[in-house]
Amino acid sequence: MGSRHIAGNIIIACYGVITLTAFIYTLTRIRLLPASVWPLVDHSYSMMAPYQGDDEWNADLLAEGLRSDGRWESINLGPYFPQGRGEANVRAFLKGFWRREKGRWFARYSELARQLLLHERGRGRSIVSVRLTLERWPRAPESFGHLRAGPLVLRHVLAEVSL
Amino acid sequence: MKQIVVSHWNHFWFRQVPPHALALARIGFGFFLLLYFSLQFPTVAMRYSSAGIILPLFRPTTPLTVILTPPPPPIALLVFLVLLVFLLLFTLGWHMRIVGTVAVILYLYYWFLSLHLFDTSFDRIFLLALAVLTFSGADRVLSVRSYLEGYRGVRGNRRYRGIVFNPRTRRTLQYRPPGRGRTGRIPPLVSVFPQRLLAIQLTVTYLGVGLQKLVLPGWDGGEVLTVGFAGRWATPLARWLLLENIPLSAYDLLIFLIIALELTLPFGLWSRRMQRWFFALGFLFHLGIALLLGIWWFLALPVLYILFVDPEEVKSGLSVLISFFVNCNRFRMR
Repeated sequence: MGSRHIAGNIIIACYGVITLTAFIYTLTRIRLLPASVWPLVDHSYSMMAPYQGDDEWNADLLAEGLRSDGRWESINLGPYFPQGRGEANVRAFLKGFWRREKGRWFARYSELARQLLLHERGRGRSIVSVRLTLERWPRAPESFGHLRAGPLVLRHVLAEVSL
Repeated sequence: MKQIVVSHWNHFWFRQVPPHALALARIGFGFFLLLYFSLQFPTVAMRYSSAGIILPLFRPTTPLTVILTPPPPPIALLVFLVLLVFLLLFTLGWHMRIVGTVAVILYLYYWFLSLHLFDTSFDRIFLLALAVLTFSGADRVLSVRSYLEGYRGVRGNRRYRGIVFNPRTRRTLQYRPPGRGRTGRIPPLVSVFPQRLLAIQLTVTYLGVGLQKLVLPGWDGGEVLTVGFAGRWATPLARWLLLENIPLSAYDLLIFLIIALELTLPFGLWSRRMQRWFFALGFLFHLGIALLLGIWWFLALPVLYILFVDPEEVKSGLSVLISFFVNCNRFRMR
């Protein structure tokens, strides 16, 4: 058996172990391999786990800037998340950090707020503080934000950053 | 018995095959990636430069991660253009290993810089497919490389692009199947290994997705669809469907069909008799997701279905197609 065959069989064996481990994790949430190789297993798992479920709430990030006169005004996040609404919505929740940083990913919102503050001041807006709030409201078939008003909306402040 | 198993194993994973299936996958997938990244071009500055909000996966505070410092907009645009150009060269099959390697590195760069925030399965699949195709020999045919290799061959005759044509006599000759043809060249062969690897990955993806829906709560009825059709991804078509007040039993049936399809696709795609039906069903499934949820990126998977077809069948199919067009041409020349 040539060296190419041997190399090929080694690749198949490694790929098989990683894929099987990812498969078992997908179905049972049991981790069979050590943490050192877990990034590879995570990559494989993520390739077979695109849509695992949903809930009955819509959510969005609300950004507000505090003016020097003490009034809060909203900041349009559209230019900063120029993707389609679905992708922009997922990105605004920093999904990429959920699994990797577990309970510490909330701290990333302070970074987001700080960058937003700097960019908005760079655009000439005289704001001294930025506040990021998570808003959640029930879903409705009419539109994404159909019930995003009044007492149905739940709010949770994620970060507030000042100069 | 052991010899039979080893023989079948080697035949499945390592035999030498015509590269036409890989070439078609390279072309189709390459164009898809070009489309995917081209759509981002107008907003490159906000996506990948210091003009936007960038949260790299690793803070750019160490010598290894300083590369993840968001660049100024002109640099970001330049790097992005390099990616587009290299993806085009990859698709055309010109110095594929070099341009493909650079494209993979740039894709990884964008992943660590920004794409990780979206954290999708399709980006991971695209990366794997790009990396495997880069070193697969997919540029041995139907490529700039093969054209140049053939053109620099025998004088007087334009060689293998599927035809043999003599410009002096203006006569075409039908493409000849395997073996030494009139050109005197043996058609190139490559290992089937990359094709098998990608096909297995697609199989595992569908199987994992399908089995997961059997295990996870919430997928035992159609409510998950009604919720999804009112969510962040819903398109106007999905919302219209919801507002039509279709009975929940219809959504239950749809969920059953989706899970059944996801569980049978991994096997149907390999079946020579049933393949074409599952190709069509898979395409319709992903098209439905694109139309109802705006998630169009998985349409790349049907493009890669060609990897499930026997490489020899792909080659003979292409030969028939080329012969047909050559004969049409000859008829018109008369």
